[in-house]
Amino acid sequence: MGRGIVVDYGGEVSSFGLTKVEREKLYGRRKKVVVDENGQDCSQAILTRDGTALLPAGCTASLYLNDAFEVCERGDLQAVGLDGAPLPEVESTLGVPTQLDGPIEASRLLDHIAKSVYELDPEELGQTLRELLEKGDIFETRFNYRKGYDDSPAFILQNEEGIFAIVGEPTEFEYLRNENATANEAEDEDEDPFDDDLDFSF
Amino acid sequence: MATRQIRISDEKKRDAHVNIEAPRRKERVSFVNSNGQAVKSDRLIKMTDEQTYEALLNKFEDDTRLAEALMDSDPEIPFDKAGRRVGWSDRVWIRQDGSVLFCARNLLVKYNPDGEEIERGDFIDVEATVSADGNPIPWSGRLFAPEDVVRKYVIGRVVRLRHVNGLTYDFLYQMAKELSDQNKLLLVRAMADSDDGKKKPAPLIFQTNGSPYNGFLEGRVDGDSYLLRLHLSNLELKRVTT
Repeated sequence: MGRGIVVDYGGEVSSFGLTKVEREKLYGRRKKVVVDENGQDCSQAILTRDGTALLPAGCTASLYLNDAFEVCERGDLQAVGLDGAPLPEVESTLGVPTQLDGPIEASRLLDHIAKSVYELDPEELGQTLRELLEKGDIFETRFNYRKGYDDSPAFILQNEEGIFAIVGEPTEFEYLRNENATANEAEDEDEDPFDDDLDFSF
Repeated sequence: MATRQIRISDEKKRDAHVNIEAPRRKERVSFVNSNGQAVKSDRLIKMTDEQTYEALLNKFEDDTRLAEALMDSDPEIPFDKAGRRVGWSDRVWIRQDGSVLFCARNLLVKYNPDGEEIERGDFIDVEATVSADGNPIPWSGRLFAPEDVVRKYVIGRVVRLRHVNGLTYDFLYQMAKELSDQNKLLLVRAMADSDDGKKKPAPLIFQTNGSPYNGFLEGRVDGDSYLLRLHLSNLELKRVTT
């Protein structure tokens, strides 16, 4: 079993080799290039604000520092979540059978943006999954390319070009209401400030 | 949440200014050291342009003399600068000999999918096609099933359309309801002014020299609340290997 995507759908294990799909591989790319007066390509560098140091590529280093400006080795770092609690490491899902759920609605996929896309080359494809993918069904699994602290949902689907996995990032937009109407409703509950507006006796 | 304003038209060709919002990116992971103290990644100076191999070779004339200098002293370390935070700084362009460029010429270089350069010419700014002051985004009338869109295009970005007052709430709510009732996504393209003075459909570009996108407008409603999202794609779901 290779280091590709492996999924378990109802007890049937399917495995796929994967190739990343990127814009430049399909359409090529455009790049803005800066040249000097002789047409020679130039490169970017950093100039410190005091003007005392010009730093071409490779002249800086990224380090982890605490508030006391003490360097911390990467191996000594512990990842924590928003609540400060240590986060367990999440192993890579490559080569590991991962549960495949579905079929799911297309709207579930629309709740995510694509972080990365892979073209899948079936090495072993279960009969049930094959038929459902050909029918146009969409499936969801979890994906983590390399060991880290967070895995992502991945959606597997097929079109006339082949089978693909779309690794997603949730967008989590909330529905919107008319805030003005809400404010008016709140005012309605209070005493009407113009209650005696029609008093002409002054 | 970053907000900006655009103009958009509905099915009845009525247009309005509404806001668009990008999703908030969540920082889920931070790091602490072995004492539980928060740490942050920072960029420090290792050396400057005077300590690069080329600069040192130029100073000591050949590799043998440079090697001797490295053994005798530390010419590769700027002791007055090494270890300083880079901090506030400016990006500059430098020539291949390391000198700073004060007058830059911008070129646009095009590469084919194999990475070969196929064209090189002056870089010309491409103006945004979507803005609060420009042409409204028209209601194209071209509707697609959500299943067809997600199987054909990669959605790389998304923005939410938000009303700015009670009238635009009605305006956007009706658009969302229309799309929700039909369970369809609307193909969205901008209208750009062309050289012959006519308006022509064009990709959605949200800022000068920004990436061009095709858009798919999706609407959902729940009681008196709505969600109107513009899904943006600049990539088709195609095989890269043949």
